[in-house]
Amino acid sequence: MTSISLKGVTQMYGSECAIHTLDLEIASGEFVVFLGPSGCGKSTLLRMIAGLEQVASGRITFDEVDVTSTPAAKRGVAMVFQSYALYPHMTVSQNLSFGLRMTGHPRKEIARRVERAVNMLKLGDYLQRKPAQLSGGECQRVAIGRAIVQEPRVLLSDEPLSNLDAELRSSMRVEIAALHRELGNTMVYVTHDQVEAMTLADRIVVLNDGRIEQVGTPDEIYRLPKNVFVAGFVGAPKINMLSGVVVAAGSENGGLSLRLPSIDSIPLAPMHVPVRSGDKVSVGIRPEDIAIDQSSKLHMLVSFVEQIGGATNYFGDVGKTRVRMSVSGAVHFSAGDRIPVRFAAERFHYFDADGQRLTSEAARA
Amino acid sequence: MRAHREWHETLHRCVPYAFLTPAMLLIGTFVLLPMISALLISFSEYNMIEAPRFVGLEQYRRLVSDPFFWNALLNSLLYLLVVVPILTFAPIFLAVLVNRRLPGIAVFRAIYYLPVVTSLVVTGLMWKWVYEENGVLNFILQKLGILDDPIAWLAVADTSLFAVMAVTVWSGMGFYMVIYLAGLQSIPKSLYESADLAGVSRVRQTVFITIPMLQPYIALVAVISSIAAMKVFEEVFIMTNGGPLSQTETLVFFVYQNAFVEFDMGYASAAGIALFVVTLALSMINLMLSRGSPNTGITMYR
Repeated sequence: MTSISLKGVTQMYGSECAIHTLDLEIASGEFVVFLGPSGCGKSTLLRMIAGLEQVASGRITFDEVDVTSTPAAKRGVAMVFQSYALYPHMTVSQNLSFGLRMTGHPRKEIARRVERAVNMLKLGDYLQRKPAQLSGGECQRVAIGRAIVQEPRVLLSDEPLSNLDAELRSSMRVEIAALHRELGNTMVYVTHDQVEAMTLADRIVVLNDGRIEQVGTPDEIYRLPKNVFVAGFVGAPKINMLSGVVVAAGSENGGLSLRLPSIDSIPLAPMHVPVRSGDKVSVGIRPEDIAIDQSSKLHMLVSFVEQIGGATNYFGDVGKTRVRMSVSGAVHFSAGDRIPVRFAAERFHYFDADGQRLTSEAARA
Repeated sequence: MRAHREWHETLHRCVPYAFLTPAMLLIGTFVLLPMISALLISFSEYNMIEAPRFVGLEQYRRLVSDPFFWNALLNSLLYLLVVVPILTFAPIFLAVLVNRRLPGIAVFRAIYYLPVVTSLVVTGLMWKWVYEENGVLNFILQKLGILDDPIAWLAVADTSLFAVMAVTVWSGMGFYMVIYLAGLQSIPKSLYESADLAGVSRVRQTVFITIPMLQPYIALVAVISSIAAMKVFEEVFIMTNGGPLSQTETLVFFVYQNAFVEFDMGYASAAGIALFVVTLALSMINLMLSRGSPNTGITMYR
């Protein structure tokens, strides 16, 4: 098991800065997921840890030993690639043992490691097949097997499930989680799929435009997003982000409400507000924090309904404000209906004009 | 209504043939027709002035007993044995070399490709001067102390054919390099990165990843270069004119000599048919060998 530390790491492509001065600590045996949109620098960061790309400046240490200029082969890392990167002219068995054979490992040792990987990933039936004769899921298991026979200090994965269909992705997620429990080594995993990140990670590193937006457990990332980007990127359907001015609104609801550019104003919870009257803020409201309430004065005009099994997503307008609402259970309304809705004000997320979270300890206590 | 639909369907069926007609006409006129006429002429005696006279298999009988034909055939086969392996394998290493991301590598690629786009007449003349007794090659070899006395490379029986072969290799290398370069660039980079992480050396990566992945390209180059080797003419015509003492006379040159110098069209056609049979046989062997090769499809996963 190995701890990883990145200190002041940057990466440049010509004059373009791909990774801005970045610090990150990954604990020994931790499963860390880099999450972010395409082009945010997550794969670049992973490749820098692997040694496949040199850093422009900064230091990378493994167990406090500087590996910044150590070649990839000597870092003791293995990587699972998005494209699997299996050798098409070799059988599964040859693919698994290739690296070990080429680096002069004793035959018995190779057999032991390959057998362990084969048993762990249930590859016994495919050993004599070539990659072209395997399905996507089988290829991915071989790719993982080829990485673990190296017995790496750190196992890196670059969007390993993105080429698989939804059902296979879900079952492979379970397998990867089980594999981490069994191997116990440090794993760094890149994905743009928030479900993968939320289900697999001990900690998630949310990246955007070459910068870390937030590092935290999946629960922290979801419940306490540090800024508008994280709040918007994590969660499906996307969080509702309403910008307006805080105004005094009488004693009935603790004195404050959010006035939106449209005619609507939304009451704010008296005990949980880190803002004052006159503040310009953005309020983030998760779709599941909006409920149908017959007693509410606010109404949502439904324009689109999405049934996703256990829940129903409604898309529509409250006044002139676009709103997404997620309600558990079956569909009760259809496009064109007006639904009375209530915003769970005690669960609002407040962000300042720069998009940074306004904290109130009381708010999330 | 039904008649209209039938007419429409007939028209629909004819459309592909309409598109194929121009190509079929061209191929028919300039390839198929001459081939058939060569086959017919090979059974006759024909000097391009008098009408052809049917002689049955006489020209083939002549061919079998002609030492110059056997000499030309052997020279062509020797050409094949020496030039094809070099042109099949050497460009791989050249391609690996120029596939690196080095500054100015595009200039090197262009330089290596230059002989391919240069007329063989020009390169033939150039190399003829290089091979002269007072040419550059002798000058360099003497300066390096490898030779004491200059050699007339194209005039000496032992060296002339190999000297011509060297020109074929030199002028073809760039073309095959480009084919391999395309092959190399179709190999996913992640295969090498995965090997890098496992600590596999660059040499082993070339032997165990690059060359097996290039196998379909190697088969292609082997076929193309074999056919090209059997058809060698310009280099011989420009540099040696088949000499000295027919030492560099190849099969195509033999056909040319009999057809357009001796005006013995029947005999030249019979030699042409023999060349066709040999080339066909070689292509079949190549095809069989490449079909038997292990699957290295570039589209790898389903």
